Amino acid sequence: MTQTANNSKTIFRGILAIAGLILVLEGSNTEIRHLDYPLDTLVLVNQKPVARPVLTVARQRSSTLMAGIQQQDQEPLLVQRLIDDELILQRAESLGVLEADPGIRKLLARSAINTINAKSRSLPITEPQLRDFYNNHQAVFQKPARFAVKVARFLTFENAMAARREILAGSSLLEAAPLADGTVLIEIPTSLLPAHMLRRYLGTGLTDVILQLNQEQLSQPIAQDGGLYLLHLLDQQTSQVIPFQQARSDVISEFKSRDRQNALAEALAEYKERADIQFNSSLLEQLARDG
Amino acid sequence: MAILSKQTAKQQSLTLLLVGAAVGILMAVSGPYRSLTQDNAVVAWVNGTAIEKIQYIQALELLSLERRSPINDQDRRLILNRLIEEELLVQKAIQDGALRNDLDVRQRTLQTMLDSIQSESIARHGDDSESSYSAVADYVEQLRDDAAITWIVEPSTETPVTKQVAQ
Repeated sequence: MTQTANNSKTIFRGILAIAGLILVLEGSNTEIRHLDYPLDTLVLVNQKPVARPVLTVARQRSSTLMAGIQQQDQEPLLVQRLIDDELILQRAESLGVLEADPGIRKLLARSAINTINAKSRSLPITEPQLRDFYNNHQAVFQKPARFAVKVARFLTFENAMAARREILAGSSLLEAAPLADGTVLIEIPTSLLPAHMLRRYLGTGLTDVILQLNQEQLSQPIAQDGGLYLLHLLDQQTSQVIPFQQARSDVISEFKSRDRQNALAEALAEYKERADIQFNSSLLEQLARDG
Repeated sequence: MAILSKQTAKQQSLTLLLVGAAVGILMAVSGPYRSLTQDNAVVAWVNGTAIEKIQYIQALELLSLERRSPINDQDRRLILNRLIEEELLVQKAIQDGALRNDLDVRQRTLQTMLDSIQSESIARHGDDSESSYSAVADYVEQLRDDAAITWIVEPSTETPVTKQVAQ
């Protein structure tokens, strides 16, 4: 009976000791180093390998600098330089420079994106894939609709309506607008412009009205930003789909671009799923309230 | 009587041990959460790395400069999400060894370190190129002294060696 109790105690203590060790190892910042360096390693610097491919790159990059040095003397110098570089890199790691320096952070993020893109780039694209993509994204491969407009801004509704009547009677907006005080003709190129260019000149609200007008149609006065606008659609060109063969190179680059975007989105979703992300909700709410 | 008191003492010590363990576990579990909610300089943690309030506010300010309309909740979520994604990409790149494998990252890191050593030297001795150079040389020399360098292959002879050159 006593023997069994003693055995149980020993087992219990053993389990406790192992659990303790696991906890210590889990919580420790110490990295356990194994001797698993690459076969082409030249030298280990604090157990980090400096391998032959790095030397090859260094040799290529420093060929001009090393021009005056004998061939047999070049390699020891380069390896010493690589050892010094490795020491500095290790110091940068221990100081947290990688995480703290904004420029390095940007390069690191770009490096991760390049790695993700490289994986998606290596996949071949087939002709049926391209055709499907073209058929499913017709809006991307078309010449956009274009519009030529004249726009005037009036101070009062009466002035706007008077000008409107003039235009409907046969005058142009250019002729009718200066009739009233404080009226401004908005400066827009007279050529045909796509919708995104109109938005740049006129904003979203007025552009949306223009897109609803028929050719040569004149809008009702539209109140916006403390003024009244008259929009006259002089000419328009409807959108035209570009045939597949003509758009082929654009289809390929758009396909690749979306493929890269999807690969990045998938990779980020995967990283997020595996990550431990915690929010400081009270601070975020306070910042939102403070505006 | 003596056996009874011995048993009671054992039970008491076991109870104390269990209570102590429970308190320890509770403290260990609640530690990071308590510090997170009390930390007014951090908006989120990503795998233990802080996304600071100042970063978040700066990103929001940049967005508001580009936007004509005021920042809304959706914008705030978008910005926080972008900062988290950037942190995840940075962590992934470090984990994949970009510091040594990506030439741009490697060069930029080395340059940043050298610049900081030289800036410190300039702050101490003025803008003197000789003292800047020797500051870098001294720094590297000190790193070499503290390093464990083990040659696997002698570079000039290509023969494997096992001796430890410096410790």
